[in-house]
Amino acid sequence: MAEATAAVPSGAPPKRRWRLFGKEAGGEARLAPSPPAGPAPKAVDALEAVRARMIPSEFTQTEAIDLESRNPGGPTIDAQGKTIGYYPGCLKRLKEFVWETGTDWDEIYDASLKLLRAAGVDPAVVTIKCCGHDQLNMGLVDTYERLKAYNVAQINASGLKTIVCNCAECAKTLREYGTNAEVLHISEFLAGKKLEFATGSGAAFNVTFHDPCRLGRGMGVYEQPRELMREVPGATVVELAHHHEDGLCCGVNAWMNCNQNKPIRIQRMGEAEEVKARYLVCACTKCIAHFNCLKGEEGRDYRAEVVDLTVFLARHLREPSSAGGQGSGGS
Amino acid sequence: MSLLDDKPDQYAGAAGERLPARVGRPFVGYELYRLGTITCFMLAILFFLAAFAPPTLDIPPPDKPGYALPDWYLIWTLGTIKIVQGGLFPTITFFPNTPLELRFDAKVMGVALQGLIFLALIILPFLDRRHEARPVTQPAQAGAGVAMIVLMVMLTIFGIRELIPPLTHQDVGAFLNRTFDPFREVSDWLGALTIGLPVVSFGMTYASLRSIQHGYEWKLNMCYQCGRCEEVCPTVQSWINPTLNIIHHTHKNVLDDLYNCIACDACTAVCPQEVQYVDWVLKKRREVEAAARASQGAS
Repeated sequence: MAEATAAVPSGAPPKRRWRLFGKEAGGEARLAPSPPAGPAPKAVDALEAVRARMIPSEFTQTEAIDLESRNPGGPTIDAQGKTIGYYPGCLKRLKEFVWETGTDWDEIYDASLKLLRAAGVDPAVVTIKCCGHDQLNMGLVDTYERLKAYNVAQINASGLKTIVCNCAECAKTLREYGTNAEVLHISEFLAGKKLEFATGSGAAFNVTFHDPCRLGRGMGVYEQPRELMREVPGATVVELAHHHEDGLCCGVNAWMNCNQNKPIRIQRMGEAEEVKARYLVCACTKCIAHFNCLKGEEGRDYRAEVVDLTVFLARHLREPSSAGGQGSGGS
Repeated sequence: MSLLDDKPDQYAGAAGERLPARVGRPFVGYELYRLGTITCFMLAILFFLAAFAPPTLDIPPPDKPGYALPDWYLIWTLGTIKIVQGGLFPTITFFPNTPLELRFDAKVMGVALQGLIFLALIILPFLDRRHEARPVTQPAQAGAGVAMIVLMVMLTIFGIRELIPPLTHQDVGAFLNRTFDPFREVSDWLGALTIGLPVVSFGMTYASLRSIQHGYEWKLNMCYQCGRCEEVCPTVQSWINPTLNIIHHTHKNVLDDLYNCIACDACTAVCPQEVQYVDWVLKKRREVEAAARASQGAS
């Protein structure tokens, strides 16, 4: 913990202990706590215990992944001799199951490839099954082991040396597989690479970073995303009230308890409003889904746009042919 | 350079004003010489007695006059001499057949063995400078401690081996119908046990303590209920009736709130002992899944 404290930049506010509904939390979280769920079921069937805490479409997704894991066949990696691969994770599936949040999942996919190409890398797209992070966290360890066995075989057979993920959960899970390939989050991969950003209009705006649990506390990556964001002209990186090791979770793990933990997201979005951030940048697709889900509710009027790190960077990247690429929207 | 005016602050008055430092007798100028003189005088008496009235280390048998035992807590020193007499150490002689002849026989070795044991006790704090002193984190040291206690007990028994009634004499000896020397038999058995039991107890202590050091339960035992995990747990704070009580429910092995944890690792981040609560949660969820599979397979 001492190292992590030292990693906080000197300009950042001193580390505070959490007090979600205390004085320093200026959010409206206290006003709208959700009622607790009914009595927790005696967990006899793991799948039933999980279902009780999910909304139906997300449980359907869980079942779909379970079916996918039972399929002996599946997608294979076409590496074409490349050594660096990009794993998009569940972006395609989220498009089918989590459409109601209004997030453009394809944009994250395109932005990641665009950033990697701007860094001088032409990656192979790693088309394997779901990484199984959620299944591991639900306790569905059989499903996870099936997915892992398939994915490890595919990755080791492909000859890839490095796999880049845009999602923190995928990066942590693939890294824990222990494959031949080195697994990096895209912020780790891009750190130190020379990216050229458009100068834009020069107007300053605030941007803040939400530390995903898996990326920060899970993998210890705190500074690389912030360094990348600081390179964007005009962007002032401000810290949320809880940041780095103290960063608040988005409140949902493996799609469970999303309604019960809504106050956490209200608190988190409130913190982004406090620092007058135009962008709330995340590095985890699940966090974006949950924040956008809250933003889409009636009566919620949040100024910050929740974007993925890759989307934020790619929007401000200088186009090879023409100048421009100034961030669109933002309010 | 006196004993009493080293820390004049502690003689400050109640109101905080400094009292004049008291003047005591200097240690080097007075106490050291006095204590040195007394020590040398006592040593001289010891040397004199050792030279002109040497004590015998030969213990007469119990049925002979002159047989005496030391107090019970010193019998183990008798045991060290007796076990060395059994032939554990060879006799070493320096400068034989000269006035400077030095014979290191079993009796001297036995006394030296006692000195070695005390020497080990004295240098232990200088060798092991770690702060932590939990037996589980130091299995080798704990094993050595247990072995030492067992050794003391066995040496005590060995020191009075003549007094152990030869129970086997009539029973086993008559049964086997052969000449049977209980003295000799008991002595051999006890000698092997005196050396062997401490070794065995060291191994058992070491192995059992090492086996504790794995898994979440071991880490959880380091928890001293500071409550920081409860303070930062977002789930505990966002529910009206929080049912996730990290410490209490983990100790009670309650599974009702198992699926409330969002695995955000915030508790581990603030935990002074770095207890991996999420690992425990995921392990328990796996067990639920395994039990469900087992019940489905049974029905």
